[in-house]
Amino acid sequence: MTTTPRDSWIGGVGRVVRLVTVMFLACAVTPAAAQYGAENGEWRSYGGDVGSTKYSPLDQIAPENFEQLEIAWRWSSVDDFLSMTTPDGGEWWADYDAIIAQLQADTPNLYRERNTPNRSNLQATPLMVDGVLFLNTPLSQGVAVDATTGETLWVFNPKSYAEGTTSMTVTWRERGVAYWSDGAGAERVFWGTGNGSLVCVHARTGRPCENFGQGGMIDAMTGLPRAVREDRDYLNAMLFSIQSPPIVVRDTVIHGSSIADRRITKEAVPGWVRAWDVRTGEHKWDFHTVPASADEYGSDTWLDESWRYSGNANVWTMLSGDNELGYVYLPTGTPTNDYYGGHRLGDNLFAESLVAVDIETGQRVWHFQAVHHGLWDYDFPAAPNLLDLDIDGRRVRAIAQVSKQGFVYTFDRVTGAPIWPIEERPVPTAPALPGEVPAPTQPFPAKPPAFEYQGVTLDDLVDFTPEIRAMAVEAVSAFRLGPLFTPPTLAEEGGTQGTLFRPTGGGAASWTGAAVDPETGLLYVPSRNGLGVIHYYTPEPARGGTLRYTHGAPETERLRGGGGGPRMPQGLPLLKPPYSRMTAIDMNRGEHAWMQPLGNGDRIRNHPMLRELDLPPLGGDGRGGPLLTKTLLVSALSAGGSDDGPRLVARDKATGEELGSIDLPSGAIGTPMTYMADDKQYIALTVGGQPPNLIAFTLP
Amino acid sequence: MSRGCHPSAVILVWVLIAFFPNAAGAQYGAVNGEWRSYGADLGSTKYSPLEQIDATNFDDLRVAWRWASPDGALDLDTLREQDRRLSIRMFQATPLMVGGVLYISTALHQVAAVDAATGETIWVHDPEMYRTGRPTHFYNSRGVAYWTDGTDARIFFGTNEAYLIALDAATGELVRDFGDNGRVDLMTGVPRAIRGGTNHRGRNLMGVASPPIVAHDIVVTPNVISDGAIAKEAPPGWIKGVDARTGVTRWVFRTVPQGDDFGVDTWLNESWRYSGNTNVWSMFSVDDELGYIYLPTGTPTGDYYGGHRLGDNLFAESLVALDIETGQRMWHFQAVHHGVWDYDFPAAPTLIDITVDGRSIKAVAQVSKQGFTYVFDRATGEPVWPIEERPVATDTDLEGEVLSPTQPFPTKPPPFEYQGTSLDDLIDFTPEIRALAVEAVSGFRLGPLFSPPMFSVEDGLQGTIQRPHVGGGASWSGAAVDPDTGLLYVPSENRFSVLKYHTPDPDEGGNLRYTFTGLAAGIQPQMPQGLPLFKPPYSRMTAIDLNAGEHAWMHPNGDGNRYRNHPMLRDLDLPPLGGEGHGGPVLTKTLLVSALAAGGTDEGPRLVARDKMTGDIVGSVDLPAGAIGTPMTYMHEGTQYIALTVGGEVPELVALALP
Repeated sequence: MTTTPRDSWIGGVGRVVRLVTVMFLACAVTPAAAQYGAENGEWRSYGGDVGSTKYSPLDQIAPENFEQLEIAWRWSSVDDFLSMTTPDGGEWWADYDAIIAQLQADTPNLYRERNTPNRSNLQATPLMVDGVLFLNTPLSQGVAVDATTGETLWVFNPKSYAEGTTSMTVTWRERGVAYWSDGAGAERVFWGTGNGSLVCVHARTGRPCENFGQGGMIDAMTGLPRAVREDRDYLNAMLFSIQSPPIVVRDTVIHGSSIADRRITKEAVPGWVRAWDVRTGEHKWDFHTVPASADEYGSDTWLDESWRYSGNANVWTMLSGDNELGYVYLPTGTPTNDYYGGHRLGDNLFAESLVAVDIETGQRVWHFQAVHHGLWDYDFPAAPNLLDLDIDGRRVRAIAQVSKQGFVYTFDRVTGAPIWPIEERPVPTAPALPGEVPAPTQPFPAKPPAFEYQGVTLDDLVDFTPEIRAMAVEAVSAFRLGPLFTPPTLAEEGGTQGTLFRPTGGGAASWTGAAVDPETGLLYVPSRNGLGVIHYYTPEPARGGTLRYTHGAPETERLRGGGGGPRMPQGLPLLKPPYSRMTAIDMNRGEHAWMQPLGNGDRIRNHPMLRELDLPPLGGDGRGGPLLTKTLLVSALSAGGSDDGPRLVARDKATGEELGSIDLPSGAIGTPMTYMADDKQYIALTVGGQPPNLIAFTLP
Repeated sequence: MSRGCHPSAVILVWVLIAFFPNAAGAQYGAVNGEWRSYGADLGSTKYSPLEQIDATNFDDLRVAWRWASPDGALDLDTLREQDRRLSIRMFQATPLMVGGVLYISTALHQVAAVDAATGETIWVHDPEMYRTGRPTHFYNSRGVAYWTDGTDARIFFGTNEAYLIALDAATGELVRDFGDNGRVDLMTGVPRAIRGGTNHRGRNLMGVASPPIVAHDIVVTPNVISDGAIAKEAPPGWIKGVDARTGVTRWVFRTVPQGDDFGVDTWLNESWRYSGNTNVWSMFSVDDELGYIYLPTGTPTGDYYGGHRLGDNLFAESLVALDIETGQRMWHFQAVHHGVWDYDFPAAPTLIDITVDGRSIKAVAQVSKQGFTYVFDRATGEPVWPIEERPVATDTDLEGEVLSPTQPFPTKPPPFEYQGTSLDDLIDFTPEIRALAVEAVSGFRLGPLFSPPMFSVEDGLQGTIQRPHVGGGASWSGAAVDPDTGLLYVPSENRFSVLKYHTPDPDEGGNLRYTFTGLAAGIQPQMPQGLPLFKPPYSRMTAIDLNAGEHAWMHPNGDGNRYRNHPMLRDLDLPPLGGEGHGGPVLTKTLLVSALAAGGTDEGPRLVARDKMTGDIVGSVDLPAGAIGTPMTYMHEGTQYIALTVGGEVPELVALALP
């Protein structure tokens, strides 16, 4: 019955729950070379450090006690309680339903159909600095949470939901925040919002930074071609959102963007990466992921001056940086449109590339394009991992980029020189869509081997029994098959129903990314084995359509649900297992160290046609983001706990063997992180629920 | 948007209609475990018949939940750059409870709905009045009003810039079809109340601090007008009856009459043309059955000098009964003629049915700063016991002042607080101390209640010692009345004030011949090291039998250890001295509950329960910090709670319940 103010009051704009009186750690100086894991028991950047290692050397939680972990506290997301400005200029806080209903009453058609603000997707990984966790919510509220009690310390609500539905097909999500300190008492937290603003607040109070944009907020759409704040796309969503955390490298805050890739126009906002001064909010530079003029490097890779209207090629995922070098690394995505490039012939730099940019000048230092003229939505989905390698006795400051297509691309992060050869190899270019000109070659890394199945052949089909295999062969008979980078094709009436491709646009690796161990050079990447087929249609010019082909029309979606792809009976898998896996890659040698299916896959195993068989672990229990500690690789699985419920597992880093498992109260959403507070190590992650929760485990 | 009333509120309305036909009268205490009006009911009884908490278990009470004022979450540092006096401490409200939800307002005029069982915030509405001006007096608010027609449920609230706002009780959103997008400008049509204007101190000309009241679908809102005037022209505190559904102003009662209005002849030299104040800054009461609203009005401009407003100054310092539907005056009683002591009526009158000499009377009892309780037949305004006009002194050296030759004195009940000053009233714990007190008052005029204030003369008379103090006697913490017994309970303070005068600077807009300089200004009676000047008690709780017009009992409010431990007193055997505040009372079936500033663990603040018949303390529970507002009680899901606001860096609403 007893509740404290923290439970009863969660505020809105610039509201704090309680004044925070936390001692500033005098010794908390950020190491310049932060690609070696999280330090001082903190977790100062989304990926543990700016190098995105997701590694912390903490070791209180260890193999022998992992299963004794208990939930220390649960924090409920604050999106159930929102605010809006009232006609008298006041501020009104109320439950979600009341506020959203009033916003809709005030502005008819404010939201995309069936896309009113959604509170459930709490994807963030919190930061931890000096005993306080920082994260943001699906509705772009930033919060500070006491690391030992789960008490809400402040909430800052930029009210981004008041403007409309966020960009992208899966809307309303935020993955985290960035932190900056000058080491002399100034501490700031930055995050992007669903309506395309960059927010800066003081870390200890949640108050907006003075003299930083307007009231601590920068309109990050300003100055971008075709980024009109008031415009809505054909789905009635905004054109530009920020959903992944910014990164702070030195005294610059850099962020990417989310720009819808389900679209009907070839004209789109380019996903330029933007940099701002952490103190003043002054705009420092934009990196033109789509060139802005014929004079710019790469403009010749956009034939017919298609750079003039093409967009996307954005970094929707996380960035990494090297404070010592002063570089930020941009993993970019597919240009407009994901699966059809007939309006943007050419290689399309700097789409689907890893670009190293000088943090002070915004100048490109080096780049690597992983997919030329992409047709598969093979965005780079995660932050590259920085690690120092020993390659044949030579010490290399390296960067490893996992990908949707299942490759890890590894470079000298100073020069961009590949660690192992990356060969341009011929790939199929026909048949393809009318007007499409696929690239004749694509880059293939010689090492390390791919961490996920690539391409589809009959040999890849499930063969648990001859009968099942026959069903699978039948299921794919109407589709074109082929290796990685086989161009997509149209469904033909009475003919083939399109080209199967694997991995899917959802990726082998995803935003859950990878972790690297700075001590061993092992990289750990969870991935999924999925198969896709794209269904195309020509959007009506009368509705504003300017693309010759696009995908994902609502009507096509319905068709797809009715049987547009290959179908196996009653949920039987089509492909050989595992359906998801964790792969450990020895980055010093460019070889796999081990692979383990992610989960037993009992959901599949219990199928009537399979349950008599003696099958190995099948995976398929998700590809939750990894966390590395001194002694453990920790990640979440969607099943295998009590009553086959969700759980958190710890693995031996050298073998992948499961060392411990604890139940999660509901399925994990974000990637876990770890920290030390008051001499106790915690593991924190977000899990589902209404509202979703951030939970922290610690030893009793 | 669905704007239905809270589901549980719908049910409750039905229950009320079905089982509590008398609830319309509502001067009989809170019903159904709720607390629907500031004073429990429209009659301001502050009485609830709940009895789960009683003398046997009061000490077992513990904090069920605490709710921090959302003011603490505002960016106060930045706000104080605009007004360094901005403060969140005066969280003076008493919450309402309807259908399992508490409704409350904060010092900075945010309004919130709080879950009665858990203390969780349901909604908050912040008019952000702190951005648009400085309040007339203080950053304070005492609560809100609730209204429902069975379908819609609304919260009415007055802001520091004199807007009445209507909020959907279920969601907290402005009721957009009420008034102008949810609000009504209470300054509209009020002379000299210029929207956006400020007084010489840069403060709003009009605001609201006390809760509105709603009955017969009319909402009536109190107002605050600056007491610190330097000009004789001020907005009058006219009272408006506003349609609870539409926001249309249905009537205006001119507390300062105009033109041909009744009472205009009590403002000589047509001083009604410019005089103002005469407002109700405190709370109203209503008899729902009669359809009357009772207005306890305040002092006219300026508080302590009436040379520019000669005459009795109706309807200042009066109790006025109006027909709530028309605003027509039904009766009135002026308690102070031509007031110069700031003896505003400070609290809502209490409605009580009494039997006097075998005669049943629907009465209204008005406590006052001056220490009297004025008791009337609330239908006719006829005094229950004679109220006599008695001669009072009128000699003063304040130039231009013409004091009233008589003032009304109720013959019953006796005053509940010391009135006036004489040498016999001075502290006499020891002859030595008494000598100090005699010396301390030697330069001041003493005299009975209503003694004329005097100008302070250098090396001469230093003014008049006024008692009760300008803050009262009774204050906004008011009184409670027990409908079962007819006993009225009033906390009061024994303090004095000495007014100092000066002529305001015409260059600043001053045109009053005299205005006051401040309550602690100039030479004041000085006792060494905080010794009291007068005999105890320094605060008290008095129970008055309104059937008999006699005191039933009186208890000092606290032991007064703060005084008792004085080096010159600590060896004496003194009775309880009081002085631990005059916290507002709440009555239950079996208890009189009020807060004391001391006497808890480590002399900390506490909530005490008294036997209603004897005043003996029968229970005491520590408070986490000193009480601010008057407590209230409610029953929710089988548990009785007592809720009140308490201080702290961020003040809180706390709810106590049995384990």
